[in-house]
Amino acid sequence: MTIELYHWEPTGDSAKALIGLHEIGVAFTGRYVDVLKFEQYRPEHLALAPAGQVPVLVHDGEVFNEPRLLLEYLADAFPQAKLAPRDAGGWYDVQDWVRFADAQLNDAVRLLGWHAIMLPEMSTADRTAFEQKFAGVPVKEQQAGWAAVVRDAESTENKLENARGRVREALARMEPVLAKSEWLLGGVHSIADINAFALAWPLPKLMPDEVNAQKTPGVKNWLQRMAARPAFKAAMSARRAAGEVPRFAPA
Amino acid sequence: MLQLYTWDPNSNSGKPIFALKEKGVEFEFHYIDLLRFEQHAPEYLAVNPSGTVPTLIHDGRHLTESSPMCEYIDAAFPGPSLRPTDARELYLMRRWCRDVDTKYAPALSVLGWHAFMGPMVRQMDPKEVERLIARIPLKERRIAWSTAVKSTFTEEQLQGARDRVAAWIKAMDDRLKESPYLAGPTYSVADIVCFANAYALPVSQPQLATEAKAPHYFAWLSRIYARPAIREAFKLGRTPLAARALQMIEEFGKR
Repeated sequence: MTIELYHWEPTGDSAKALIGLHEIGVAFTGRYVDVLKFEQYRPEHLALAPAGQVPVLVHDGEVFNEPRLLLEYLADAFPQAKLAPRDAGGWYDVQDWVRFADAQLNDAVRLLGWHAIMLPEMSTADRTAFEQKFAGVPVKEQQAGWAAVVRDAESTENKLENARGRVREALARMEPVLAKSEWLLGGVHSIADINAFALAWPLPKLMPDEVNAQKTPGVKNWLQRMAARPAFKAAMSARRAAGEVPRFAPA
Repeated sequence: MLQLYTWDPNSNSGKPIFALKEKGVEFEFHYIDLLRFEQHAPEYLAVNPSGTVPTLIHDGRHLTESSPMCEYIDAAFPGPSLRPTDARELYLMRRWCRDVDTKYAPALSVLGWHAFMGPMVRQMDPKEVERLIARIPLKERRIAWSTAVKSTFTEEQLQGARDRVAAWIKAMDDRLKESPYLAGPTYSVADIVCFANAYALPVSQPQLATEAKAPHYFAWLSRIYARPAIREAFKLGRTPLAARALQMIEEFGKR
C-alpha cells in the first residue's frame, strides 16, 4: 500500500488531511506544494488536480483531489482507525458538522488570516511580484480571487467584518456543545473535530477578543485538547515556514 | 412514524422523497408550500428554526442537510441499498453531492429565480414582500432574498450560471459514458441528488441539455424516470413542475 499526500502548510484543508493521516497512524509520503509560489499550477500538479487543488491524496495509484472530502474518504478506507461513528445518526452528525464548519469557517478564516498575518509581511515590491505571478494562474476563475486580496487590501473592512460574522455564527453553535462535552459529537472524537479544528485553530490569534478562555471557554479548551494530540504535533512537523505562526493563502 | 417536511419533489426538497420511496419506507408527508413562503412561517420555524426545507424527523432526531439525509435514510432503513460499499465509490458519490450542493444547485437557482420566482415576487405587494423577508431567520438568506427581489440578475451573472450548468451536464455525460450510474455500477445517493436537480433540464434549459450534446445523460435520465419510486415521488408534487415531470416519464417511457 502506498499513500502520498500533496499538501501545503498545516492550516485549512492541508491540516485536515495531515492530521487525519497521523490519527490513523499509517505511513505516507508527504509532498510539499508551495501554494504561495504557485506550485499548484505546475503541469505535474495540474495533471493530478486540474483546478490546482491542494491537498491531493494518492492512495494505491488512485487520485483523490477534492480536498473537502479527504477525511470522509480516510474514515471509509481505514475503518479500523475509527475516525467516525458508523451508525446512521452518528455519520449524519459528522457530515452535518463538516459541511457547517466548511461553509462558515473556510473562506472566513483564510481571509482573516491573510489580512492579519500574510499581507503585513509583504512589501509593495512583494505585492507587485505576487501580482505578476497570479497573472499566470491557468484557472481563470481563481485569478480574480488572488487579485482581490492584494489589490483590494485597503478596502476590505466590510469583507473582514462579514468574515468575523461567519466565525461568530460558527462559535454560537460550537460553544454550547463544547462547553458540555469533550468533542463535537459528545463523547467520541471524530473527523468532525479534525475538520473544524483544522479551520479553527488560528482563531485565538485572529480574533483574540472573541475567542478566549473567558468568552468561549468550551471552544478554547477543545482547541487545546486537539492541539495536545500527537497527530496535530506530527502534522505541524510538515511545516516549512519558520516559527509557530499559521500561514494562509487566498481562497 | 417518520415525519418529512418538504416541498415538491424538486431540488433539495426532492432528495429525501426519492430516497424514501426507493427504500419503500412509510412516512408522514407535510407539504411546505415554498410558493407561499410557508418555510418561514412560525409553525414551520418551530420544526426547523433555520427555515430551510426539507426536515426529516426520526427517533427524535431533526435532520436538515438534504444530501447527508439521503445517506441517513439508506443506513437507517431496510430496503435496496443506495450506497456503494467501496471507499472510492463512496468518495465519488459524495463528490457528486458536494458539487451539486455547492456549485451547480446555486447556478440553477439563479436561472430558476430569473425565469420564475423573481417575476412572481415582483408582482406582489412590496409591503407584503418586505414582511415575508423580515421573518427569514438566517441573515444571509435575508440578504440574498432582498437582493434577488430588488434587482434582476445581470446578463453576465446569468451567463455564468448557464456556463456552470453546461459544465455540469458535460461532466455527468462524460462520467455516464463509462459508468451506468454516477458513483459506479449501481444506483446511489449521487444519482438521487443529481437527478433531483437535473430531471427537468431538457425542458428548462433546452439549449444546454440536448440529446445530441449529452446522449449518456439522456439515457441515464431515461433509466431513472423508469423507476417506480420516481413516479410515486412525483405524484406527491402539487406544482406544474411535478405535472411536467410525470409527462416526461410518459415521454421517456415511449422511447
